Amino acid sequence: MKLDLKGIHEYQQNRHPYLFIDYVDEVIPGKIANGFKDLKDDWFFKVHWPTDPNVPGMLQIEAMVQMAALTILTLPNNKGKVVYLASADKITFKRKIVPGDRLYLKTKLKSWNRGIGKCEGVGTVNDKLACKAEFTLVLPEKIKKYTVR
Amino acid sequence: MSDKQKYKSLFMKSLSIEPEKFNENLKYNEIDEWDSIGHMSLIAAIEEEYKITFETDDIVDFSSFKKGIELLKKYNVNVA
Repeated sequence: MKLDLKGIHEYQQNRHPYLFIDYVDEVIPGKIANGFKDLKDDWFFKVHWPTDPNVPGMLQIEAMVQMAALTILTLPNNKGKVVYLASADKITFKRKIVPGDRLYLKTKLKSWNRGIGKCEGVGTVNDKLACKAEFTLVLPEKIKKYTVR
Repeated sequence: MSDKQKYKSLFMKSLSIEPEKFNENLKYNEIDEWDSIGHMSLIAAIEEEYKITFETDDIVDFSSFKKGIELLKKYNVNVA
């Protein structure tokens, strides 16, 4: 399945200027989500930094998280729900991402059980590694039924 | 490593608890690390280690380190 902006809006709730996905080339529910974000005159470049605009590391993680969340939100009955980032690990930033770059995001849902998703993401620019991370996503509504008495 | 030691290490690893913060009287929500999300990680780690699948009622009853030992007996896992 491919998703344009309209489709992305249907499946998840992040919106401009906090949406870090322009297009999804391929999403296989419960498995992978791949696509890109074109960096143009985005809001953070003005402040990070005026003399050396580049994408803050935390927003690179956010981009990977938003893409990976689609592996969960495209599963049956999850469309449009909210997914939270619970933890992130093995975070690496390898190169500066600047205006004009296309950040290509490849994400994988390694496991999905009872509302907890273990994911990994990789971001590249011109096929060169820019960032990568492993992280845990949570669908709160799913874990509610397992709350300890 | 003894069976109980292995069970303890599952707690410490899945909840990211430092050894000095762990004790056998540990209860759910008694430390920040053992919250609802930590609980799911702990359950997943135990299921993977002992190749079992908890029933939902047992997941919500798993309220302490000791209660877990008792519940595991139901799945023929003895860690005491």
